[in-house]
Amino acid sequence: MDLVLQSLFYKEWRERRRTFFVCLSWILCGVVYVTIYELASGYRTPVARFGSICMVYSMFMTVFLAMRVCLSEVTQGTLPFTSSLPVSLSWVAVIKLVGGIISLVGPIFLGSMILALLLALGILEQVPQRRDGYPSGFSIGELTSLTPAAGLILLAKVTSVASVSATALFMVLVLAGARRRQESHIGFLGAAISFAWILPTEARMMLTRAGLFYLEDWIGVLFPQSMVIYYGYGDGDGVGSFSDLDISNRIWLPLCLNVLMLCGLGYWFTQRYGTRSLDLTGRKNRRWSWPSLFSWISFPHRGQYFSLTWINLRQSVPLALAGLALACLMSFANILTSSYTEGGAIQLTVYSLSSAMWIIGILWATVVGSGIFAAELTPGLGHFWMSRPLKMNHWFWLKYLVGLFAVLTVLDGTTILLGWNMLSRSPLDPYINNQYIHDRNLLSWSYIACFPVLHAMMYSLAVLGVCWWKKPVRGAVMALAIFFISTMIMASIHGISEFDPLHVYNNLFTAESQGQFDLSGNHFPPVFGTISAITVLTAYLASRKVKQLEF
Amino acid sequence: MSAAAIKIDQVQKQFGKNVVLENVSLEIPRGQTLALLGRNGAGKTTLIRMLLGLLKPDAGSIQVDGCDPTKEAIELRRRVGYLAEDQTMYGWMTAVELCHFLNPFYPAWNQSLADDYLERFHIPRHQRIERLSKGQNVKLGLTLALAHEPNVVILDDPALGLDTIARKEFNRDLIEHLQAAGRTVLFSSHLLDEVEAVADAVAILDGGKIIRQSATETLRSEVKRFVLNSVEIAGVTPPPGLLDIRVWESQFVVTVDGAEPFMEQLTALGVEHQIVELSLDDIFESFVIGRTQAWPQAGMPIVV
Repeated sequence: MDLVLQSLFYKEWRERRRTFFVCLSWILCGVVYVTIYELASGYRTPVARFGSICMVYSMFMTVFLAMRVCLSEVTQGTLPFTSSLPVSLSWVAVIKLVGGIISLVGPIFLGSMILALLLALGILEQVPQRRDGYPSGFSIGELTSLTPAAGLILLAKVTSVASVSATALFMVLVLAGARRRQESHIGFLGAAISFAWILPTEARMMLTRAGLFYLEDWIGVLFPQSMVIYYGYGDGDGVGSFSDLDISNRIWLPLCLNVLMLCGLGYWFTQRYGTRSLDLTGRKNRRWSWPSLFSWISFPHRGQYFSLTWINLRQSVPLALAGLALACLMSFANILTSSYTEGGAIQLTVYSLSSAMWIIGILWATVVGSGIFAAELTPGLGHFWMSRPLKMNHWFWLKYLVGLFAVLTVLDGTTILLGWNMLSRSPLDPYINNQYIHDRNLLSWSYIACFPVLHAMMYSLAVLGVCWWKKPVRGAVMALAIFFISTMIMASIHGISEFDPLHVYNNLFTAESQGQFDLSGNHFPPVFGTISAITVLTAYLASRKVKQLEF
Repeated sequence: MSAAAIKIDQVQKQFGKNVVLENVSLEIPRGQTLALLGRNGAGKTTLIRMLLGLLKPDAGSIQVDGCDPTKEAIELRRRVGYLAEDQTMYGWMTAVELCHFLNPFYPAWNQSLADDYLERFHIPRHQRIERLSKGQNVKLGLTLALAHEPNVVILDDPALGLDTIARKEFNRDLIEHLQAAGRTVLFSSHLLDEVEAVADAVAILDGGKIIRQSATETLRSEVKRFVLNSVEIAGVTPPPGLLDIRVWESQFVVTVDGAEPFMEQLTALGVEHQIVELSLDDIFESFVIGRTQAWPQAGMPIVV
């Protein structure tokens, strides 16, 4: 190999190796979890479970890797140095891209190989995929296992789709971030894109429902994530869950075509990398920017707390509104891809907002928590604050509470306000009997009791993460990882799964649907009491961490 | 109230094993502009952060405008005007919004004065800070530091990153708005040619120690460069304030702190010499990177 390329690869390895080991650890932990869970439960669905782990993994790690690949040189200020080397920036970008893809996809292949070995040795077994889903009360034990060869083929297909899908998301993110200036921008953009990435998963089903069967097998060329759909089922006894997958008839050719498209995107990235001017005054060349309306109506503030509340609202509310917009988009897309076309799409979106907001709220509470604190803790703005006549403790708590208020008001408050009619189940409302609304988790008292508390905890965890590491994306990912991993583990253990917050909500909602809403049962008091305690404790720990900045 | 606006007494600070400040003592009388000079990493910013109560000294005491920064940091920050090196402000705010925002933090904030500064410094009131030039940013920082009419102003290398003309313009503003108002100013910098026009006094910080503090004019009159013949110098004993020796062809160029006694010594010995006046830049250079090992001994050959 060319010595220059060797040098570049060596540098890339040195920079990327830590992330690679994080990715590898994630997947290996996933494989261990799949193995133990399948051996203990006997469901025989390791491929689907591994695939769903890869899906969650790619949602998070693509964002991390895209940030590093696009902008690590800008962050470290080494881009001018790299540009001055006698090698084109396109080659540097190629090496970075390849390094990023290997770090992302390599662990998936390694994990898949371990799983393949276990399947080949007969230690694990796999049941056939079911395209029509399981009927209510179905026991998976009735299905016979696939032969090891058939199991390996299924694993190969799922691994390939997961790898290509992760690479496609990664490509979209690196392209979006190639000309940004700050890693945190890609972090927040990436969080939104990776969640929106789930939406086209339904594309194949949508085409089927629309009768466009000839396109069904080819939509994977554009949206590789739609080639495998994962379903989770609660077991008949209500204490365990198993995964199923629905896989497209045609896999390999659409995947190859998609890879060709990704090569094109990769080439585009290499041409864009490092081409944006790093001159800070470059912003002046923007042709248009929002007029500074607030400046014209600004007036001297009367008190410190008013001033701080004002600035914190201006930071947190726009961020929270972006989350609300994402939830509306997700809800609207769900309606468009559903078979329920009766009724006004806008009204249905409004009423079914809670079915998207519970999960968007979990994501976006962390985005708001990390977003509003991260910038303030950078050396520049951090110093601006510390040199003001203000106690850091007061600063922290006001910022924390205003941010929490924005999260609860904009995300949950709006959802509750818009869906309020659903609570009364008024027969006069023409939409109440709509089949789509009927089939979804509508706004309920259970939602009001559970999700704002959960969102508050996610916000608080993200704040702690950011105050701890002073890195926005790391703080947000830490919060989400804690939540998803703990719920996944809880859902997997018999006896403990009843304390999973989502399980508690589901039980409360089911009881409420049957006319019995009682917050003293279904483990609600201990579970959500603990969540509230975690919220307060993490906020306190974050305040202690911020206070250390004083001296 | 004490006559000294800033009093630093035997202050020490170390980060791990790295001693950043060692027994630093400094007094700045009211109304004086003192330039704190030092190379990068000399400890200037650490000392300034201690003056604002942002860092705690390991030993020693500090008084700024009658306040102890370790005990009354908030009250101190209300009273002192401070401009950090490369100060970051909210890019999405405009200059006027930032002034309105900071208004309640300072009881003595004078909004009309702030508006006046914005006008005088030609800072667009309704333009976002992210779109201001570097020079405008620094002047906005100065506006924020002065709008509450502080008695003491601390400027940490404020002209860092500005081009030559912008630095000169900034210094002109500094003289006009600070010195004329009789404020006490502590001004850290490593751009000495520009400090010279502004500072009443200088303190040189090197290796964590104040190695010299003096009125600017006194320093310039006490530190001088002597050009001597290389043969005649062998009979001269090295002066106590020797800062630097350079050999130039057949001449020795000697920089001495305490020019008057040395000149008398040379005259008494009948050694011919020339005296060169030094700029602050040359003086600073002699203090921090001067070499004194090459003083010739009588009877030893001089290697040129």
